[in-house]
Formats: sequence, C-alpha cells, structure tokens
Amino acid sequence: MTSKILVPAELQNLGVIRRFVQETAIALGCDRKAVADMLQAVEEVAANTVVHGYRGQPGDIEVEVSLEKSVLVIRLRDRAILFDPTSVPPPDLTRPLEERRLGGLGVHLARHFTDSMTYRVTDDGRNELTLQRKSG
Amino acid sequence: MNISVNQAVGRVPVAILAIQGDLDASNYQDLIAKAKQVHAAGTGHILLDLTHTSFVSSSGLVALHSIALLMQGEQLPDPESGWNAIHSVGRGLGAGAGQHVKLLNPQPRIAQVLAKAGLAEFFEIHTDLAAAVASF
Repeated sequence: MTSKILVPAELQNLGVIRRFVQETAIALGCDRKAVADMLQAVEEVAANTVVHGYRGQPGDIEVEVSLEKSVLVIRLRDRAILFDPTSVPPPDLTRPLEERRLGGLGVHLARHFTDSMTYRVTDDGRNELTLQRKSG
Repeated sequence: MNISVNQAVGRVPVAILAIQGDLDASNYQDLIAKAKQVHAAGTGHILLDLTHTSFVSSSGLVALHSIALLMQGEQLPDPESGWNAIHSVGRGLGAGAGQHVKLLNPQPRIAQVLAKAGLAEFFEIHTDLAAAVASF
C-alpha cells in the first residue's frame, strides 16, 4: 500500500508532513523507532526544499509513504530548482566547538537517521529523494 | 509550540524557558526571540526545559546554538536577514558559554539528535529542576 500527500511548500506545513508520515507509517505496521527516525529525516529534507529549493516561491511537496519488504520507504518530490542533497558533504564534527559551523546539519541528520538516501530527477523533471529505513 | 517563561533563583537568577511541542523550522525563531527578550530584561542564565518538547529539528539546534551565543554576549543576525544568515552563524561557541545555557530533561530522541550534531558535549544536561537551577 502506498499513501501520498501533496502540500504547499511552506514551513508551516512541516508539521502536516510529519503527522502524515507518522500516521501512515504506524498504520502500515512500522516499528516506532523506524518511524521516529524517518520523521527526523523527512523534516530536514522537506525544510531544505522549502527554504533552499523554492526560496520563498510558491510550490508543492509530494510525500509518498510505503512499506516495501519490511523497509519504510518515503519519497519526496518537488518542482524546485534541481538539487541533489546527497551531494552535500558532511559537517566536520571533529573540529573544536569554537570553530564549528552548523551548515549542512540537516542533511547530516537525515543521513544518520536513514539507511539510505537516493536522489534522481523524475521523467517529468522533478526532484525525487527516496529515504529508506528498515522497520523491525 | 508554546514557550512559557518562569524565573528561579539559585546562586544567580535563572530564567526557565519551558518548550512544549515540536521545535522545528517553522518556529525556531520564536524561541530565539523569547531568549532575546529574557536577555534584554537582564537575565544572564537560561535553563531550557525540554521535558515536554516532543521533537527538535536541526533548526531547533540552531536556536539552542544561537541562544548560547546570545548569552555569551554575541550579536545574533537580524531574523529579517533570512535563514542562511541564522543557519550559518560564523562564530563558534566559547568555552564558557555553556555555563549560561543548560538543558533540562531532553527526551532520549532529542539527546540523540544533540549528540549526532556534536552539541551534546557543549550543553550541560540535568534531570532535576532544583539541581539544574542550583548548578548555575
């Protein structure tokens, strides 16, 4: 079973997206740790899409949730400027605190809380980011 | 998200900011603004009560980082200057700044996010309110 939601790309809708992911994943029978991990990842990548992708311009984010062979799969699609977030280098957390910056932290957290994160451009020219996290 | 502010006095006056709900990209600036108010009123120590905080995104971490900077006397970017200015604060946290901002009762998930972002080593974490206030 696959469930989908399409929402305007606005920061105020991040909570809507998280609730949809949570309710759908639990209804699919996913374990709560997997769901919590995916909520963190989805928040980070969706916020980046709103802020860095659409840059204040109107647009939509489509979020699709499915359970495929015990793997929770979430696909996010948008028509923002084409960008592959998997290409963002990880922050250097080994640097001293006083030299550390917070840039790229969202993608870093998304990577950490998922088993895989893959990017492609869809046939109709949209960004599609697929997040996967084993459930159970 | 709701933020309530209470004052306590240990060895020094402490403002307790209790955050209820989700701290994400849509509202993290509200928390920074509240801390600015408290700081402007003359309070030099803040205890962030995360007992009822259910979710913290990387933007929430940026808020915690910004509040620590504020309490060590740094000027923060104007919120009107946008996401990038706030999320790429160039100054790091000084060694003593963590003594001005401490955390109370973060849920395990939030503690995990703090750790993964490399901020857990900086913020002193307490589980008892009285002990937390007395620690400043």
